[in-house]
Amino acid sequence: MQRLHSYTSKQKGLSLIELVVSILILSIIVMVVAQFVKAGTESYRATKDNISALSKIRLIDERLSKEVRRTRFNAAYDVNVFTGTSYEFIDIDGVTVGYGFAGSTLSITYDTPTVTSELSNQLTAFNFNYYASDGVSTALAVSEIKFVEWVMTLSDNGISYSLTNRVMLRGMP
Amino acid sequence: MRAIHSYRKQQGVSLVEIVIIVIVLGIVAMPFSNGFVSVSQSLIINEEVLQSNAYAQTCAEHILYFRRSPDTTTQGYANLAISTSSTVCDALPNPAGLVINVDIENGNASPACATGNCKSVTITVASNGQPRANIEFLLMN
Repeated sequence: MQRLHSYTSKQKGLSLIELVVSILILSIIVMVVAQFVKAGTESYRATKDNISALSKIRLIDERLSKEVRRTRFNAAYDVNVFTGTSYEFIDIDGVTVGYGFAGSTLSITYDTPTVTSELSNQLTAFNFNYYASDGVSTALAVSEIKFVEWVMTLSDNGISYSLTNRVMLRGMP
Repeated sequence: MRAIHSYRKQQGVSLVEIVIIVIVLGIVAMPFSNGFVSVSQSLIINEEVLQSNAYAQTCAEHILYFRRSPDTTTQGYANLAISTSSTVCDALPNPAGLVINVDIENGNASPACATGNCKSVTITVASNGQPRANIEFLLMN
């Protein structure tokens, strides 16, 4: 009889204070875990956007490096236009190639066959510079151009990358 | 009677035990937070690598022109001095935070340098003492 009485009176379950404390502790643990999940998601998104922006700017840089250095040389380089936003030249295969920047778009044009395409429409800044043989002085005439440099900034989903690169024009004998 | 006594001993978790659990959980969670920090650092390094490669390429292009230049009085192969810390690219614009070193040495005879008359060029770009880009090539006379 005493044993039965003990079971029925001592087993009270959780008090309100115990319940509140448990909920508080659980909330703190959940908040900490949620922070990790949030940070993980943000890291993933940031990495994805960064890789995307990096890939795009590398693609533009590689295309420019590959093509601009193929400018043909005939006594001087076959350069038709060399301004801050445009560079048009004849390459070693005799094809006229033109790069032009307007707004946020860098486009490329070929005359044979006639093709115009966009290299990027996410550039917030783009500029060509032309240098003489010392690599420092600005080339003022076609005959002085030995290096072509580009300076660009690409923005993709709030991620910005800037890149400056240059090539030596290879066609010189 | 013994069974009743046993039930009375079940008191739940004490404050000290909770504190210990929280500390242990904190220690376990630390590597995760370090992981997030290293993700942020790798994003910064990505940009440094991109700019370092471009800087090294700019210097390499400059040296290639120097080698091929028709002005053999001040440029050309003979004027490319042997040095572990060449100044050949010093005049080029220097991106902020990046340090370049150009090492030019006599190249040994090899399949790539049949005449044995070559110069081996190593361009290294570093940021905060950490190498970020490296280009090596041979120039033949």
